[in-house]
Amino acid sequence: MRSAPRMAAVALFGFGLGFLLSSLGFTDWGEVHTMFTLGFFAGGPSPGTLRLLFAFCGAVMLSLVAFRAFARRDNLPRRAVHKGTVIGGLAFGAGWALTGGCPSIAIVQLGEGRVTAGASVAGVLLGTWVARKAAARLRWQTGSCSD
Amino acid sequence: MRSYWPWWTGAVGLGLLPLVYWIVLRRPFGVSGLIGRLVSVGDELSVAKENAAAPTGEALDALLAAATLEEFGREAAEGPMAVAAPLPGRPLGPRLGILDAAAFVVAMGLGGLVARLWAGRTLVLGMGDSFTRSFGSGLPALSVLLAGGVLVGAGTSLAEGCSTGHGLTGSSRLQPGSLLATACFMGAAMCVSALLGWRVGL
Amino acid sequence: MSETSARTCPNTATCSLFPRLGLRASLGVWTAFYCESKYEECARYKAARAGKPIPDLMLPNGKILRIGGERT
Repeated sequence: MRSAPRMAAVALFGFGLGFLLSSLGFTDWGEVHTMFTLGFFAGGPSPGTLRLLFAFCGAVMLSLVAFRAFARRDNLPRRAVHKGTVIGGLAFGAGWALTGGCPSIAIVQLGEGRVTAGASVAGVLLGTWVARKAAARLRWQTGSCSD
Repeated sequence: MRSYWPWWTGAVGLGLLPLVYWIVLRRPFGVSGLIGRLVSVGDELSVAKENAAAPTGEALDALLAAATLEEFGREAAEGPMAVAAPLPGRPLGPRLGILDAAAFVVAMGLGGLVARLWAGRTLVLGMGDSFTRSFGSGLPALSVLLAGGVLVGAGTSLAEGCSTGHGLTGSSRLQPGSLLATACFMGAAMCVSALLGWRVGL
Repeated sequence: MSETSARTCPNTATCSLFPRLGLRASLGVWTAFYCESKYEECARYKAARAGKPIPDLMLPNGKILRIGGERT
């Protein structure tokens, strides 16, 4: 794919993701907190309080089926367990609980006009920069492409 | 004001994104790597410049042949090893560069803005009542967001993936690294959220 | 000369040299010398382990193929 149409396609996916996350309520700190606490602080688990969790789990399952159906023989890059997997995952989860966002959500929050999310985004950029430098020093990078 | 979309729209929309992205761009769907591009601006721009000056076709053939000759000498360059070496199956698409990453990020923000306006939700400057009840406002609140962001950025870099890259794309492909990373981040998020809830009585 | 199949670079599946140069006769020479043996000396591998982005047409010896000649 030539570069200009590719950039347009990438932007379209970005727009779609942002639109979807906002419309679902993933940018709502309270909703995300409810998701992570299984609704126990919002009247208990119910289809209403677990909706974001259902959306996420449902998405993973649908994606699984979709890849099997349409891309079974394709070779996507493998994601092996490596040195940064566990500690990275734990740190990321803790940060998500505090900011209400993963990298995407923080950006969408900022886009929605939530100025304070600028602090989250700044943190994401800073954390990414520091971790990449550290991982390079420690030789923790696998060199496999993530995205 | 419209209410949030039902869960199944998320399941369908998010569930199909990785496959469609793969079919169109031949790259695994994920965001943390794109953030990484934005952070290594110098390196990424010089790589982008090199890629823009990349030869193709016969010019590329000639340049490759010359480089092979120079590196290995005539005997090796023209011997039995000089055969094509493609990988089986369709190749991965070109790596997205810093400009693609910037376009993606800006578009994501725009998508959020349009979605919010279209749903008739008023724009707010902060993270909402639940957050304020947990962390207050002003400098303490911003510090929490900054610190949390650092954890997110560092964590996704070390794990080489985020909620979309590992949680959605990688897990749906049953990749061991993604499954473990997803379990870790979900577990940690749930623990910290529970602690917050108990502390604040949300 | 013992040959183990474990001596293959772990990054071949995602290395851009294969999509870009795979169908050209010379790539086999490079893969024999680098990908299938001394891959730790490959400039691309080293850059990947250091977390640096890699030009699409950088050869394992570090030279980059570009219009108008090579560049180290």
